[in-house]
Amino acid sequence: MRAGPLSSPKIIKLLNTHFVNVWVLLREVPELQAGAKGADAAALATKLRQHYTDSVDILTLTPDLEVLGHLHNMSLFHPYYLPRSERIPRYLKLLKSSAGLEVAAQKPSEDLNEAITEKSIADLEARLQQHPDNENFFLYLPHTYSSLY
Amino acid sequence: MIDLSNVLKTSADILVQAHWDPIENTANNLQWATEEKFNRSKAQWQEPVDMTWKQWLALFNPGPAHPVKNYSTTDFQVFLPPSTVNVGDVWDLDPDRILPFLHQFHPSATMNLRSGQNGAKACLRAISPEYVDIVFRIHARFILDAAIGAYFRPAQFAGHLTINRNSGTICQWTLSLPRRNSNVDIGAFRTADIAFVPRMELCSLSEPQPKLIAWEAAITAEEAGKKFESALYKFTEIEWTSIEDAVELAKASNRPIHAVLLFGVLDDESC
Repeated sequence: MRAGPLSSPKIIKLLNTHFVNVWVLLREVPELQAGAKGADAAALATKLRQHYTDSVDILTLTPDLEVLGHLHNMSLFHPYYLPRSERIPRYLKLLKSSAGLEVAAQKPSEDLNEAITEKSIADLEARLQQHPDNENFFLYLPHTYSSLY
Repeated sequence: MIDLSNVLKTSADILVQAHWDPIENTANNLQWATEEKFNRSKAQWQEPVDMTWKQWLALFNPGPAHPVKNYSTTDFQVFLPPSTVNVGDVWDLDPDRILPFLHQFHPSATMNLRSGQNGAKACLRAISPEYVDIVFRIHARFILDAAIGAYFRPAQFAGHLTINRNSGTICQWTLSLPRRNSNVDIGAFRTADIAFVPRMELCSLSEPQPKLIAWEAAITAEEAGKKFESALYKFTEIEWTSIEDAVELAKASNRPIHAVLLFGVLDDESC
């Protein structure tokens, strides 16, 4: 995820403009819930824990901690559930709807580089699933791969 | 700007000691699955698996391939900057020349991370008339058994190289897995887990480093760490808030909260 949706310039811009962003380590949640970092942090940690389903979970919430949206690992990031090329649009949709922004269809022309990169990653992923131990695939990646994968 | 290309003036041998502790705990108990579960995974795997339960138990804790290995001082030139630098400058390291060090841990070391962020970076942390200190961060992976997709991916290897500029010798060189629970991503049979390895380290057995060095110019190790994160991860451009401040900031700015809860830390390769 760190090298997928969270490295997308569009998503970074949206997050920095419209959201307060926080990441929390699951292992630290019990301590947070017990009040180690104050009542607000305890309430937020409790909300996150209540909705947690698998290794990586994303929640959007109002300032009063009402849940606006939820994406979990198995629906978004697992390579066998959702193609990588669809993850950034899915994430954008969650963020835009949570921030009350219009969810517009993506224009291919304005995101050509991102689309090409995402397609090359999706192609690689498909090849890796067919031949999971072939390291040679990494020798022929486009330059953008190393910075976005 | 300083030219460090000739700072290592000898080809003296450097002994490097390796430590690799067994896994102390895991989040999902992959490593300590029951024998029944292991046999089921074997049976369901795409190809016949030639591995016993005993071999499985030892798979993720191989220990170092070479507990002690001899290097030449010239081998450490890979950590020097390719051109003139200032304190705080970051440069890329050549993976092909880093790998021989990682092979001391295990012959299957690779710096192609597949679903992670490839990279090896170094930074000039401090300099004095007599000494220079270079810190580095390396991402790598070990393929423990390709037939079942068993891998071991450390969060990162962090290290430093301190050189005596007068003698052109190495005072200290270390490369280690940060001691933090959780610090390793492991996987096999297309199942992943997060583990804690208390100590995984290479360290030189060279001349002792002086306890106090009067640096002429320096940045802290934390500042260097931030530079590596920025160089390796685009997601660090996101303005992250600490959890204790998030709710108050959201109320004050009337913005929703975007929260990521995850079982391994976000800013390294352990998740």
